[in-house]
Amino acid sequence: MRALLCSIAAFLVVLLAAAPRALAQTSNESTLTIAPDGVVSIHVVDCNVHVVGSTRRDVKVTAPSNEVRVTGDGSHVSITVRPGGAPSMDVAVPSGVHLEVHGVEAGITIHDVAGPVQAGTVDGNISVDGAGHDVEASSVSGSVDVSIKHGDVRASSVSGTVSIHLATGGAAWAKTVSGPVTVGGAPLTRAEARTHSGTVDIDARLEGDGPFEAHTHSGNVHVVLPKAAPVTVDARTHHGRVDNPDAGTPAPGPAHTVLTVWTFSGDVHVERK
Amino acid sequence: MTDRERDSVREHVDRLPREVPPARDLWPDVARTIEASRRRARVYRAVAMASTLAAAAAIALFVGVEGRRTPGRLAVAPSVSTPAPTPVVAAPPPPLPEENAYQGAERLLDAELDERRGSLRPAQAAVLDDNLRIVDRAIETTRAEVREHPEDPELRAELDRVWEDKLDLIRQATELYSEM
Repeated sequence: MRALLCSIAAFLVVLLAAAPRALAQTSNESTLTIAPDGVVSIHVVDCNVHVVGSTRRDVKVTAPSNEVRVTGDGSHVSITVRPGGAPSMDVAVPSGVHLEVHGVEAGITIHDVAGPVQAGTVDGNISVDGAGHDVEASSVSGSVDVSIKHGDVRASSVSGTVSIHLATGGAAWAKTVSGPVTVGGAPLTRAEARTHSGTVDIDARLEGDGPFEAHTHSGNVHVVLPKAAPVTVDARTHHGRVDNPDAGTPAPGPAHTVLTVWTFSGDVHVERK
Repeated sequence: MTDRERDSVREHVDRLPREVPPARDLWPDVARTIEASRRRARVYRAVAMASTLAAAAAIALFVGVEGRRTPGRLAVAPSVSTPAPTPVVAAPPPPLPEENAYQGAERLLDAELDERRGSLRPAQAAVLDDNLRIVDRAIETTRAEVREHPEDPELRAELDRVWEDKLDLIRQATELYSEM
């Protein structure tokens, strides 16, 4: 019995000693210098990408494989993963870079990149959060979720959920065909939400001339506005029901902002909180 | 008691008969008692069964009412297997003249998308086709309503929107697939 315990202990010691070495052998790192406002382009197939922005002055790529091609000239860094090259990749970039990520069968997450972001994938979810400014994100089959402090966001999907939340305001454009759309934030100076067979949820403070529109063909629309917001909601449905407490009454304050809501066969519910 | 008195009592006891027939027939009373007990048991069983049936009826009534309140919530399988009637599929209404421009644009974009289709995985092609069908259905239902209410500007605007959505969908898919 004592001999058996000693053998197990010895085996564990050897295993623990060898683990970091094994990790170091399979994890590859590349680092290239880039201008703070340079361009980082990422093209991947069958690879999940995780990009993080920070105060660093270079681009660092970490992947569990050496099948990642990284090239650059100081103002532009290009990263490519071919099919079967690496199942995932971490990229650390200066937060002000212009980031382009294109993927096939690729999930994309982007955190704290304040420069312009363009992300597109055929199969996979896209998530952008933290610092942000101008974000354009689209997926064919997957959800798109953008939750940043402030910015101008265009997010679209074909068969997934689209969600935009701008904590301190900005402009939101969200579109999908067969998924739900959610738009929130304050204050939004433009909000356009469109889906065909999904629902639209808007929970926001709207300011300015917009446009402010929520459209769905066969889904319901749910709008939540601040109680005293000077916004007129023009809600219509062809085959459904409209529940709008503002209908027929002037909006509080100088009503220059109009939110147009339309659904062909769904219901509309407007709420003031 | 003295020994003589004890012997005298024993003699009297020994002289008593071993069996004494009852003064009257007791069985009819016993049989009546048994029958009365059986009747009480039958009544209890009947009352219990009636209560069970009443409870079952109340539950069935409640479920039935709830089922009618939310149609389609409970799927009831037919008790007898009968062949389903063949659905009569109405032909979609023909496009309106104002849709010609959209159809022309669709043909051009479709040609471009078809060039990419060869490189699509089956699941990707299925997602695209499913969503094109969703938009096509939206175009058909809106077109049918426009035919019924040709003066309704909202319906005409919706028809424009769903067509623009279809063209956008083809464009977006072509653009993303071209990255493959």
